[in-house]
Amino acid sequence: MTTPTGEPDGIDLKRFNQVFFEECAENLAEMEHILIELGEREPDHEQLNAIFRAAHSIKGGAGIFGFDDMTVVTHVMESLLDLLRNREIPFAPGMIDLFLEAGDAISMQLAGHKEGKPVRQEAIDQVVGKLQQLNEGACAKESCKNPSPAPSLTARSAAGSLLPLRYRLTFTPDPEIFNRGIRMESIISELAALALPGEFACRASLAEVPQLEDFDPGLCITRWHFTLATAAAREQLFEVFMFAADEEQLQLEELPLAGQAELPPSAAAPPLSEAETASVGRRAYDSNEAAPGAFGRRSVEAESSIRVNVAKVDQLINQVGELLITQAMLAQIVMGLDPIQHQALQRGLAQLERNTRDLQGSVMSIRLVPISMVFSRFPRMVRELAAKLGKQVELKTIGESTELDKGLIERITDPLCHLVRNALDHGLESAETRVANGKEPTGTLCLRASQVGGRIVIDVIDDGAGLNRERIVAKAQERGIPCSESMSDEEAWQLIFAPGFSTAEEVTDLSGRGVGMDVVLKNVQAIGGRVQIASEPGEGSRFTISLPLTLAILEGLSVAVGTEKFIIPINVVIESLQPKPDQLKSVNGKEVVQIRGDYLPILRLHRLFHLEPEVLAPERGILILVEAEGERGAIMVDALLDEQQVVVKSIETNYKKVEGSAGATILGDGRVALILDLTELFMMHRKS
Amino acid sequence: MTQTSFAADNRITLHGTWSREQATALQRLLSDRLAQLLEREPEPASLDLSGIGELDACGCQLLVLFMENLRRRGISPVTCTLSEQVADQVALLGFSDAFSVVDTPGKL
Amino acid sequence: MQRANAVSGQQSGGEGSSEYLTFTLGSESYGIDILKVQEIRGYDCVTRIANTPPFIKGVINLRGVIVPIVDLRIKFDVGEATYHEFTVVIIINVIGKVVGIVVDGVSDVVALPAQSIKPAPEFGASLDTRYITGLGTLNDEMLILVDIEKLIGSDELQIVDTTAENPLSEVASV
Repeated sequence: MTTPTGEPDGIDLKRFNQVFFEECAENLAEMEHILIELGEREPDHEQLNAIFRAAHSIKGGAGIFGFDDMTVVTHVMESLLDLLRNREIPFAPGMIDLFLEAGDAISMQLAGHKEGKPVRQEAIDQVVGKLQQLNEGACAKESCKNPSPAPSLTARSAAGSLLPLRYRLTFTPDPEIFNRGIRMESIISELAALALPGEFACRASLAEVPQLEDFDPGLCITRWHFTLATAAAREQLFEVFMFAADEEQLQLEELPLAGQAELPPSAAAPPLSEAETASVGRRAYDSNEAAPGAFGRRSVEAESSIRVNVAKVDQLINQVGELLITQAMLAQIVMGLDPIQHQALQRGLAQLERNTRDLQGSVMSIRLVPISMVFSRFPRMVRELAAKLGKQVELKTIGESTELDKGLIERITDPLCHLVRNALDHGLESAETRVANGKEPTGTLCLRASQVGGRIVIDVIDDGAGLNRERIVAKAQERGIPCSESMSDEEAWQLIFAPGFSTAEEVTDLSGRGVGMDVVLKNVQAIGGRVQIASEPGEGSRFTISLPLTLAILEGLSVAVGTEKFIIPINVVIESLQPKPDQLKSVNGKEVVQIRGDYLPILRLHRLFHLEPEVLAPERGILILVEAEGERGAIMVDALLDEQQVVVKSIETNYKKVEGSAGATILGDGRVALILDLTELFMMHRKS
Repeated sequence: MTQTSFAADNRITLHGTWSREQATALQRLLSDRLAQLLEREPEPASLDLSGIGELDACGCQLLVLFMENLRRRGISPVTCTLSEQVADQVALLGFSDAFSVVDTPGKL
Repeated sequence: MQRANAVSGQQSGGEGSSEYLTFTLGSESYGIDILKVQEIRGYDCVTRIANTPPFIKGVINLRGVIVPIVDLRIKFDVGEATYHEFTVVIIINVIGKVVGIVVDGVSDVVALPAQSIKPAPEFGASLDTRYITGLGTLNDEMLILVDIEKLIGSDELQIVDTTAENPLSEVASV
């Protein structure tokens, strides 16, 4: 019930807002997905219905929560879609773009309600106007079916997202169906089970009437007609006939208005089921208005997933992290015990460790989401960008199901967007240029994600012109970025990441926001990632981002300096060694170690952190060779302890950032160990 | 095992199981019966199916075909007696209107 | 972060009084608002942090949370900074941070009626007067009431940092 002012009375719906926002976003994504896939093609009945349903859900939910602005747009969209799917109006290719625009308008309105973002009303009015025009055009041409009345303040349609629809299903089986042992009784029962109670009707009729004496009795000449109201998806309906029929033998038709659903006339037509006659004048989908959970939830469809508050998941992850630490502490205590006497205890603890790690794996995987969440925005972006640039581009995505931590998803989106824009802008050539070079006019941009050994690898590959080495080196020299003619290709490519390489003038509005590749690299590194480049002139380029699986847990090397322990993230470690005296040299008064022809500076951790080391001579200590942001060095420690997974803990929460560290962790002995930040260490080293 | 009994009149009485396996036998049986009925004067026939224990889609279809053949040749069966169980089966399969079920004896 | 007050106070002394945890630094007695005290621990397993002033002893692992430890005896140069089994660390929870302060000893929780609290002296206390909310009397002894929130948040203690954020700091904070 709503009051004339449109405010729902009694129930506080605000806490359901979140679900509506999320589902609305999903519906918008679904709509966009279908529209983009269509390109310019006319959608088939199924696709139109899907788009219609998405718009309808949004309208329903918007209605409940009083978001009238969204109701208006979705209503007009819905009317047009209805006309289309009832073939009262011919499809025009421009409609795809119009629907996309409408989706954008609704998105904008959604952001307005959800985050208070400003809304450009003229853009919305424009879209509504265009949709309205097409609607009216159709009505003027022929007597259009009475579209449902525009939403008024007092009568809101409270449709949930997957409300029952009414169908007519005709099954014309293969004549061999009886010989194949198919039992129609089971199929009919199964179908009836999917229908709402009292909303299922079945009628069989002979497709032909041959002479009885000539008839082969094993053949099936019966055709079945079903009418049913169901909340099940089309796929579920078709699934019932999975082994019995091919899709051509099934004809599924959605019946729009209740009261119109009737079986084809027959000698003794069964009376219309009660539900069909009772709701004349209302749209069939509204029949579930009073059902519990009707606030925009998919109450009827079987759910294989549940929504969980992210904070709860994080808490769970923390607690499992604590469990790991406690288990490690126990392990340490037990290590000191006599193994013979305490065999059972040690075995039990080993089991505990396995259990804990399994638990950790499972819990971490909760935060994992498929990268398709990130990739999904690119079809649209590529389509529009390519159009703007006047280039023909085909986007391929591989490995969409590769999973990565939800926290990473948000941080990787921007860098990937930049790389994609870069490839479209600079990498891929125009159709004419490509043809002139003997290439296919349509360029290919490939986004590929895969998991390789504990890291997520994302490639952005284009078959464009490749990087121009001379231009890059020349530009670097111009900007005073250190480089040399003799540097390897890989080193030359890395120049584009140097701060100051790309200036504001070059960054066209397409590449957006005036940021350069150096910011891309920084953002990737901030989440523990690296970027590598490979390129072949005339053939194309490949940018590879490699990320750790998650932020909260780090794979690290624990090292000891004096009484303190530190963790070095594995992703920066090249190797560790004990140097021989002849490898130790001095360059400009600074200690270096010579490894395979390279001289790497030695960073004495004890000096940087003012500790008393056990070892002062590098040849009696351990050097950990590391590389971060293109800088390489050798960290000197007393001893290399272990390679282990650590739970990243924040120091900043209660204290402040410690220079040289990127967080801390709690080791098995209960003590705190700093996780080293290589870039800062290099800076500290330079300053000392 | 199907058993049938005929009377020298327009009653058709059927017993037993009528499903795919028996289809061929049934068809022959019904064809014979049809031929017999055609030799007689056209008058409404009655179909006593209360003795049928099991009926599947194939059998049902056959019966419907039989009745349709009767109809087209001027013999319209007016009464159709089915046991409740079979009537349900017929309804499930969607053949109810074809049978124009009138009587269901022994309904509890 | 634990907000549970692990220290139970005595019955309040009536209206208009607040409860204070009293502790000693050298020969002086101090009191802090009991509501800001999270718990009291011994001094144990402190991990040193490089390049910190001497009064910042390092950090400890408090049930999975990293908490800095400040030795007020060193900071305000009172008494002797010794560490043994009776050394006490008061865990404070203020301004969204959990911090531990090392003191010589902890006494009672006392309730002081508001009227009995005198204004802070202009000079003479080891603690800078801006951190003193007032002076109370307990058993004929002077109790220096500390504005612990101001003290912890001060630049002097160098615990609060307003400079650049660490991208990893969003993660795994309990």
